[in-house]
Amino acid sequence: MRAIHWYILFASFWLLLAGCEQKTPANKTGGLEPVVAVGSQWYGHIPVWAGIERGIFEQYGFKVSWRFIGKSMDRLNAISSGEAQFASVGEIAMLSAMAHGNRRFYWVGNQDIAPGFEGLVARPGINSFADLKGKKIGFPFGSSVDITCRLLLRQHGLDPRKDVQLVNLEVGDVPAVFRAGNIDAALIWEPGFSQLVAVEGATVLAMDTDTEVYRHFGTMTGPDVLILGKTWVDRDPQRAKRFMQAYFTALEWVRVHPDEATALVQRRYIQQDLALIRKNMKKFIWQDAQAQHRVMSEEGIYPQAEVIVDILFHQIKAIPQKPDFREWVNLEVIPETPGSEREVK
Amino acid sequence: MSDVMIRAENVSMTFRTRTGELGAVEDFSLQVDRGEVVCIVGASGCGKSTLLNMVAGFLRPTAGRILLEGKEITAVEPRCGMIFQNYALFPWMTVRGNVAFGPRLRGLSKKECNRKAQHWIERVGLQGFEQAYPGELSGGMQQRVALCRALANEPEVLLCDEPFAALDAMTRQIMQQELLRIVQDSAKTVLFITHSIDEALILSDRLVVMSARPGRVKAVYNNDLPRPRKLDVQLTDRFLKLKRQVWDLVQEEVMGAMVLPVNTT
Amino acid sequence: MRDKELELWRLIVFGAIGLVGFIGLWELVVRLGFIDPFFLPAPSQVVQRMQQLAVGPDAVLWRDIRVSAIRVLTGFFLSILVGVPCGLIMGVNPVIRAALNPIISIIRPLPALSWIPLSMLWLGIDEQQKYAIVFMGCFASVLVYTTDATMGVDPTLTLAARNLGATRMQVLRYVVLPGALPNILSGLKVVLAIAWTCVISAEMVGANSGLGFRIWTAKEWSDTGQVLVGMLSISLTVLLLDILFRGVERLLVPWRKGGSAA
Repeated sequence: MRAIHWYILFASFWLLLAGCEQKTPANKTGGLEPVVAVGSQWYGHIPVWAGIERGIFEQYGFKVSWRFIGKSMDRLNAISSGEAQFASVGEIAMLSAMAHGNRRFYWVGNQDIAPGFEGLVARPGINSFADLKGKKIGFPFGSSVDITCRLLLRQHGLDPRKDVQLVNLEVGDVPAVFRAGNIDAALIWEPGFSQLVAVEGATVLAMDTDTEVYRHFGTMTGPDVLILGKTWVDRDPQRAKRFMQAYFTALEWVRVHPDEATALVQRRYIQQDLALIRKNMKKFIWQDAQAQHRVMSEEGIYPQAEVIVDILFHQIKAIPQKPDFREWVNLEVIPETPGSEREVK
Repeated sequence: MSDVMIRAENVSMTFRTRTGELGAVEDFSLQVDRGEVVCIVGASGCGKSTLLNMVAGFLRPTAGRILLEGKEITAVEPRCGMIFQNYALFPWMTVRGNVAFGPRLRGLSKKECNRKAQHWIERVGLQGFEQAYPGELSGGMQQRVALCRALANEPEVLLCDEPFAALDAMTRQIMQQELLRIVQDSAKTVLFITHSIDEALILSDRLVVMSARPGRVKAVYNNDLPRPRKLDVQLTDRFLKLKRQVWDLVQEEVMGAMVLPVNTT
Repeated sequence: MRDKELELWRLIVFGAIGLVGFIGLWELVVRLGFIDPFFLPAPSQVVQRMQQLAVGPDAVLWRDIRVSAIRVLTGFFLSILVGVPCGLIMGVNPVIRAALNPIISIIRPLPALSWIPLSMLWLGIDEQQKYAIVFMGCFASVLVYTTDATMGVDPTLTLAARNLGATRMQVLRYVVLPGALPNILSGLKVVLAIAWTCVISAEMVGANSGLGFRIWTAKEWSDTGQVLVGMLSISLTVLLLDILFRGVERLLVPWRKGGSAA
């Protein structure tokens, strides 16, 4: 039976390949709880990165591995599938997922307040919104800039459906496509935004701080929110709380040591000039544990979320119904006291 | 009026294969007169087809030369119309399309092509099947179309490479009669390859027996069976006598060819 | 051997039973709560979503199908226009074949998706870029199918044509092309399906219409129902094109009526 030999050969080859795969079971993490955190290159994630690099998570008993996923909805889907436990995602993606009935996650906080990091940039020759008529505007559909763009256009009397041509782009492609002149204007957040502005003769037509949403609520159109996997939290709420404690401790460290934090994350997580990161970080406010209880309320971000839901439902018609996002909120995992810097050795 | 149509002068053909050189035909000489029907008989693999392919110009001999009307054959020769064992009809053309193919290549008008085609189609009794595709016809009918196609191109010589070998015995006899009739009417020169001695005796003026590979002329018989012939010539004493002579010779060759591998092992 | 081929009506009946059974089972497991509708909406929900997309003032489905189909067919025909003649030449000329084969072998395994960065760099994000991605995804396959089909043409047919006085060009035009046509066409049928996978990749970036665009943005909005509508539309459109293609095949290859020809 010659065929048997082939089966054995094939099977051993397959085993060899499978053996090469780097799996980290719990016993290999030295007794630490494995947690997968997902995020993009956005400054908002700096506390997580700092927590990993400074060993803060390990002090709280977690082995956090970082996965880069550029788009909010992809991150949310990673959480929903149970493959990842912690993420920060755009508020718009979160609300949309809620509207479509995704109940696999908890909304546990608001990551940052960072208006002024995304805006609408036009190519040379386009100096006002009036010039935009009939032009091509590129950005990632379904992200915060999607709303920002539509709000800005409407405010200037342009119908996003008829007066301009909107083009869906990958987050990372926006600067290159803009530089090549394949689109007339683009919107993206940092770090891509700086690349747009760097194009010679490019004009910033408006920032997210020019939208009605900012004027009313003082937030960007789609701030990043903190998300935890529902099953992971439900299985052990105390563990989730401990994890959030670690996160806020890391956040505190970043706040106290901005320069060290910048040096820590540059290149490894953000490919940007050190000076630029420093400058941007000065404008950046991370919500700490105490702030969460204030922000996650009817006096905080909820009315803003209502407005976004309205826009998504009535104007963009991207969601089939208005979700009651309060059902997803879980503040029990948010520690009452902020993690203090003293805990970090 | 015995002018020479085909003349093979010491023709040899050697194929280069992976295992070495293979002599298919060796020092083969033959002369075919205009209007003569010559049948070449030999065991399978004796180089008969190779010889025919050289006359058609598909292959160039490695030594010697083949002349057609005194000129050496150096390229594919349309004056030598070939009839293949597997018919080689174009399956995407109708019967008329196949028959008219040769005239069409020569740039004749569509009307003229069709007229010529129709003439030959009727001559072999295929009227009513002009619009049929070869795939819809029986083997015997397909070979008629092939014959038609060759004749419509008005060749000087007909080269037949065991054309009836794939047909059943009955159809085969009918086709032999058909060919006999056409050849006698048109006075074409024919070089006919077969491994059937009966077929060779029915059709030929002269009969060449080839040796086992590498193919050489083993013997030449003048077939003096009276013309015009019909198929019942097979029943005459003269036919049987000739057949016996050829038979003995061919059998010797066949046995030789079969014994050979045993000796070498 | 097809010793057990069912009659047409049985084929239809059993096919329908299989399809209805599958859809029924799907509906059931979602309705009974075995599967979260967020992960897989029930067929009824998909149909409902399809209705929303296909009729009414916000109907985008027909436009999406049209736009994608135009992209597919343009890229597909371009690849035929270039691939078939090149394949014919490669099929009949062993020297050219030997020279081009390594290049083809390098290009062929590249998925359409991998052409996106370069195509954006060279052609931007307009229609030409979409055509180019479909073209690059199809071209090598068309070439290989044509070359194989050409090499599969009975060499005695070429000899027969040469014997009847055909020049090399005439052999190519009257013998090799029609002889290879049936196999080229069945190859093209496979490539047409490949072309659809290409267009979905092409519409991932820099698009604002098309079935691929609809699927990718639906993903951004977490609209699984719309994703399924997009997928279903692709299946149905490909099915329709396949039927059309069979018609074209019957027209171009009339001698294969019964499929019995050798």
